[in-house]
Amino acid sequence: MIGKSQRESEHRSRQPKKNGKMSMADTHTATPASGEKRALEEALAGLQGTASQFGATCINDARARLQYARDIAAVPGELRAAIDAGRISVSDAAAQASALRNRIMELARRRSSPTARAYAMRLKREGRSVSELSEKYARRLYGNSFSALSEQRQASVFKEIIQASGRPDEGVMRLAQQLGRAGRRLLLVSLAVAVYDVVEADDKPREVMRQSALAGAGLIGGWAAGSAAVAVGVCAATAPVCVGAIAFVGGLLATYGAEASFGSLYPRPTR
Amino acid sequence: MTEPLNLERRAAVWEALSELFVGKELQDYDYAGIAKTLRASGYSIDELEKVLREEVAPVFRSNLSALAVPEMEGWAQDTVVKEIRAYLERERTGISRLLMRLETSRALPDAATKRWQRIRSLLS
Repeated sequence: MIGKSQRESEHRSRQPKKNGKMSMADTHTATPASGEKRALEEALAGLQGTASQFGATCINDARARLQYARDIAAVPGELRAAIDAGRISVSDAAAQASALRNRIMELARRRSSPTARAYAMRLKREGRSVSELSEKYARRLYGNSFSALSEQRQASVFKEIIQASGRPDEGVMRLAQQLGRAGRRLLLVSLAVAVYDVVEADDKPREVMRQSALAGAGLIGGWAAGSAAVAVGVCAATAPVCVGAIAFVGGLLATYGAEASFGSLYPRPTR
Repeated sequence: MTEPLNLERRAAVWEALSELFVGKELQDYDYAGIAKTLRASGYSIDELEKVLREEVAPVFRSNLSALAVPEMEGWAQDTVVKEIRAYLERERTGISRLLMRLETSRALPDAATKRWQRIRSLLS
């Protein structure tokens, strides 16, 4: 049985606003009889949260990768300056170049999202030692083993190791910019929907809070779910599809949760 | 390639071809070195391309993806052999076999394609 006051409330909620439009938030105003609209609202909120999560993750991963390229490109210059100033020998500088690059890579991977980290770790890496590198470059540059080279040539092998340590391929690094652009587009779409909802809402401060809660929940939920999946062993740290899927579901569930909690903490005012 | 795997012969080829997937910019001497190793292997260009697509690319292509923080200096031969053998020896049934076929039929990443074209021109 639907009571009189409830029917009135439903009737009020179905009335279009003065400007004749209904906002995306209004279309699913929660009344007992509007279960489908509520489901639609939750689905849209979930999508929006997931889009924000993907967008922000792409931007973060692109930034980590571009920073990585910048950091490794700076290494040869700094080491050359140290060699010129006599603070370090060429062979020590070559060893440092290799070690620094490995450390920069680890840092960049730690800064990446759980999915990108899992992707990067698919290939177990065992950094190549300086002796391996000197042998490889000696053969490449002079067609001879490193120990058979003159001191001068050995020094030029070390210098090439240092140079090569800061020479990222532009085409490969450009992929990070594309990832960042895709992330920004996704975030813009999500932002546009959020702005539309705020503009169309009667209670604008409440809608701003709601949108922030959805975006935050999607982002944090996705990140936390991905990290937790690796930490508790649901996914191997090297299984990007598993980590990505769990991050996606985590982001979606967190957005649904945020939508439900927000609705009960700050119920939509009746007009 | 259907003949039994000659690991010693193949290992050098795998290591050389894995260099097409590193994040650093390859230099002229790198191309020359890779081509020299491949030529010394005795495989034809078509055979080498098949090894590249079916054995090396599925394992190392992730290093060139937009998501990866790429490895720059490449991988030691032991690592390359271990990774590729693990990939080839993985038991596959149903969907995983289908996925493997899809994986090997995918185009190479742009950077790897450009590098392979250059190696091909050095070999021919």
